[in-house]
Amino acid sequence: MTSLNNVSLAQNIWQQLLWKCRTFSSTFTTVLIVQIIFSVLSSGSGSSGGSYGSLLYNESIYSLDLLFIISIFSAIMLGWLLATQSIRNDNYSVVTTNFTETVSTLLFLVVLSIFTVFSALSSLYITVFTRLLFFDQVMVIKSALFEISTLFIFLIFVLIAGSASYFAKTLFDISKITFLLLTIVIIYSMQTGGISESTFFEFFLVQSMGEMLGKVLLVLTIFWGLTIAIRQRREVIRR
Amino acid sequence: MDFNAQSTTPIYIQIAEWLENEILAVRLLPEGKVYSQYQLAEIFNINPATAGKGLTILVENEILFKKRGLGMFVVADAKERILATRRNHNLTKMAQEIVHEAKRLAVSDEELITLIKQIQKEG
Amino acid sequence: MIQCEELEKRYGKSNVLTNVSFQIEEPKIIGLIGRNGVGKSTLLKLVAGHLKETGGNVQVFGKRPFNALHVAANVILIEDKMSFPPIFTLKEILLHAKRFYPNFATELAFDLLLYVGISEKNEHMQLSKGQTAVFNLIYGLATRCAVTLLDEPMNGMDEAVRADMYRAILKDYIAFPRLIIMSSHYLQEMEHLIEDILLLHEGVVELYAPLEEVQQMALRIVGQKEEIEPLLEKVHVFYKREQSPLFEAIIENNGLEIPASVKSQSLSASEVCKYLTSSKEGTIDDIFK
Repeated sequence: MTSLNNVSLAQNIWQQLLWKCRTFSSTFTTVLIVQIIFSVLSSGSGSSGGSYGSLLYNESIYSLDLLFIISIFSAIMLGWLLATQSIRNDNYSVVTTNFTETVSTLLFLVVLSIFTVFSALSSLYITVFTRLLFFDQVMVIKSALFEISTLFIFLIFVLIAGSASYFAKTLFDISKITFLLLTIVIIYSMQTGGISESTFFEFFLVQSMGEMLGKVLLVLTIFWGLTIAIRQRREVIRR
Repeated sequence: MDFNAQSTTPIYIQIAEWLENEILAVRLLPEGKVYSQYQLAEIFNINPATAGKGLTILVENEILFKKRGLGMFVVADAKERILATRRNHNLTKMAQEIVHEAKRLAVSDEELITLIKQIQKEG
Repeated sequence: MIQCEELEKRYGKSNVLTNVSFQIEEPKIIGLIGRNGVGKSTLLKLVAGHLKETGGNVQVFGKRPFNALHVAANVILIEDKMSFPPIFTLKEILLHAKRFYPNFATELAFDLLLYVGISEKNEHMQLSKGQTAVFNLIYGLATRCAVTLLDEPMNGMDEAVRADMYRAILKDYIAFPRLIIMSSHYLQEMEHLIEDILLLHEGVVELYAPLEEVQQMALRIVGQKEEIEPLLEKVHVFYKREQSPLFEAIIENNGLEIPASVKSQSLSASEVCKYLTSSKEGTIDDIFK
């Protein structure tokens, strides 16, 4: 008889992660291209002009703000997309279970988030370079825009956005009513002033790094745990 | 290949008959090795288990014998055995036909036996 | 390898499988037969762990298949709806498969693709219906999983390719014995290939027996009405039809002595299955009375 395959959980998750990096390789290039386009077009979020003796100068302030929003947005899109039925079905043409499929997708979201941060960073440098090349503008980066802590926070928000969206689509698929109710509750509480974007940032952006990390882990654990729990019970329906 | 999946004769019997014919034609030699069930499966495009059943019948009828770990072999007097069985079988069949025909023509048993004895005398 | 005990699967209110019990302990080729909608695909999906049973139990390699990694790694289910990531060409699909299935016969898969004339540069979505079926079957064979489930694998293939693919299944099975369960409503086509028949009917296993046994289960008898009718009282009758002056019946073959004047003939396995699962009494002829 043909020999039995023995696959460990970790092996299978790792193989699927590699497989996903390959099957969704286009998402990496898409993220990069979108970020470059936006950062070139916007040429900085604020600028001021002036003169210094006979030298005219134009000071542009570049920040991660716009790219941050773009990145969050793309993470939400991709999180939703990764949870769709057809992608899950493709996954079932290789060795997989609900658990390893979900965990490897979440790990892929981590990879994607890290990539997003680095591509945001590099797209800024690309912008600087392009302006130098085509518009003959010498750019001087005045201060360190990118501190490690900034990048880390960037990464965390992108990851949370992706995970939340992956969870939302998972919830949407099993119960549209629950999803709808939850959406209404969130919108309602934002309308009535209970919650806004700033509450969200205030919740995470606390002085102590340890506390922030704890909160991040808590939120991720909740999203990931719920996602795994829900997806664990799903059957494979190919249409 | 002279084998028919749609025939009502089970495939394994067809396989056994084919092997017997090969022995009669001396393409399979006395004491010689016979095709394995897997070779038969490939030759006739059939399930190896079915081919195996064909071989088993021939072992049961003492046309073939098993050598442990070596496969199936033709017994020394296989040809004679096959001929004997087929003779018997064919004769019985013909006799049956004669009896039925006699019934249809309303020939009594005594008349039929007399007829046979008469033919034997003349022959 | 596979045990089912009183296995039940409901979809909402409709009961597809009500009480399915059988056991398969060794590698062989099994034909899974049944009328349309009887739950052949459902049974295969339960064994593959794609669906969750609603009652009874199913075990594959001693484990409940639903969501079990060990089962997923050793069972492949091939069906016409299976899909692959659209970014992959056929070549890439085959190259990646080896990472998940250590026994994957990459070379065999490429040779078969070349033989049937499907370019490895194609994408899975671009293939025609018949080509998709061929590719899926090649993929399934190449995984060399200990349990290979083929759900209507020949659907959409032309006759020449079918014959080749049946031969490919047989050859690879002889070289690498494994359990192959093949569902089809064209039993006749694969009768030569299978060892056992698993016949599903009305939610239960109607029959699980070696092919030869099934072939000996029924007899077709044709003769005069006066000769046939007394016979019918002694055995189970699957079907009878009077087409004056002849009377034809399909009866259970229980060693009943048939007079020589009655023509009798054993049935092919596919005919036996047809009569075992025919709807109650009566035939299409009754509609035209």
